[in-house]
Amino acid sequence: MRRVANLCCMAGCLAALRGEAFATPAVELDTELRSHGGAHGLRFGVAIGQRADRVRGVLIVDPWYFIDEQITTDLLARVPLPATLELNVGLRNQAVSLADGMRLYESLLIGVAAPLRVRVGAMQFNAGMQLTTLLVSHGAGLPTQLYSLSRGTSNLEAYSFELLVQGRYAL
Amino acid sequence: MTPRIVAVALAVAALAGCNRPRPVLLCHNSNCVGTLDASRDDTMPALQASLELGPSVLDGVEIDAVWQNNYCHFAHDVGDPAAPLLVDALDVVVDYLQRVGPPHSGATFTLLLELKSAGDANADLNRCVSRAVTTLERVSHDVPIQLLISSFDQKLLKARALKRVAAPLDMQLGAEIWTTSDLGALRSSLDFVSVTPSDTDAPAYSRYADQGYDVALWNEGVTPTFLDAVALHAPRYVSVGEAAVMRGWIGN
Repeated sequence: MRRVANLCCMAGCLAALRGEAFATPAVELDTELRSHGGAHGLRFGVAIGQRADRVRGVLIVDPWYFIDEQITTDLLARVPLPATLELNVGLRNQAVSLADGMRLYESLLIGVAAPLRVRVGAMQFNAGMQLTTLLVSHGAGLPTQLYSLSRGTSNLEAYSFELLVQGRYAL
Repeated sequence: MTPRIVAVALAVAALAGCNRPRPVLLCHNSNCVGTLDASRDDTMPALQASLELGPSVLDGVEIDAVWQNNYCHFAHDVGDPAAPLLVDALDVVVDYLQRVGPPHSGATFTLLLELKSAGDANADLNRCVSRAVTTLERVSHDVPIQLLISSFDQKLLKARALKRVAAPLDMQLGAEIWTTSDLGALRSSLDFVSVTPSDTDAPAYSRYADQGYDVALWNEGVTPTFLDAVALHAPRYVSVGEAAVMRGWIGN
């Protein structure tokens, strides 16, 4: 009888926790380091979703415009996969300052990430890889240029492969 | 303020003060106006349209030469029977120089002549250089011209190295490199190496710098990764298909 009561108590507690998780959006602040790829190596992001194990929207911003007059912004969906993996898929905008305005480069991103067994205080770490495909550039009063999906070009620079490490701080 | 904060502030200020490199900007394969279209590479209409970008954009132009049917042709590859003669393409360049004068951003117009490897006909490719020199001498007293000769073929470059051209043309010799080839046989003969960033790793750039070569970076498109390579390696020459974008990035 006592065992049944304990089981009921545990089930009640779990139900209560699930309710809490549903009610509270999972918000994370990210710091990410990435290899090359034409984007600045250190950027910052915010991930927002209903809860941590559901699809979340991620905005990664770039504070380093003053260094070289270019910034990179990623808008991603972070999709949980089996075995603690995550799929990251979305769009990248890169704005590069030219003499007559900003040249904008639009890319598709797809990548996977997995948690590392590293923790510093409340910050968890993930490692991942990402393929970037540059689709089009436009702006600055110059012709719009298609890249990776364009015939007549053999532009290997339109594709880049990046490795990244993310530090995630849950709010 | 702690010393660490001061150090970070100084580093940020130093980075903020960094200027973009100012390479010599060349029109890749004589085709650098409008949208990218490799089928127009080394064709007369593309050369004429590209030169219309003018000296405010272009510091020079890249022209490819092949040897076929006992003549030196202006073409990207061997095998096009309708390819124009190299001298006709050079006449277009000379007419342009006589009309507009030297580049806006420098006193020297740069012509990169790439000799396409042609097997047994390689020996005759040297005649392309002689014809280029003869044609360019018509204008080189009024407009200083730097003639860059390059090729993927190391034997051809070695032969060319023995026959350098005297003033008024300033001739430089360079190797086109797909991979980190051994340049040992040409070490004392070369002035520059021509590479594309997607085929070149960081140790290769270090090796070229250690050996005293200037670097020419080429690419069809001016993408963020290409700009990254230009900013990082500060090449002496850049040859691109999107010349107007590159000029906008470099500045005048």
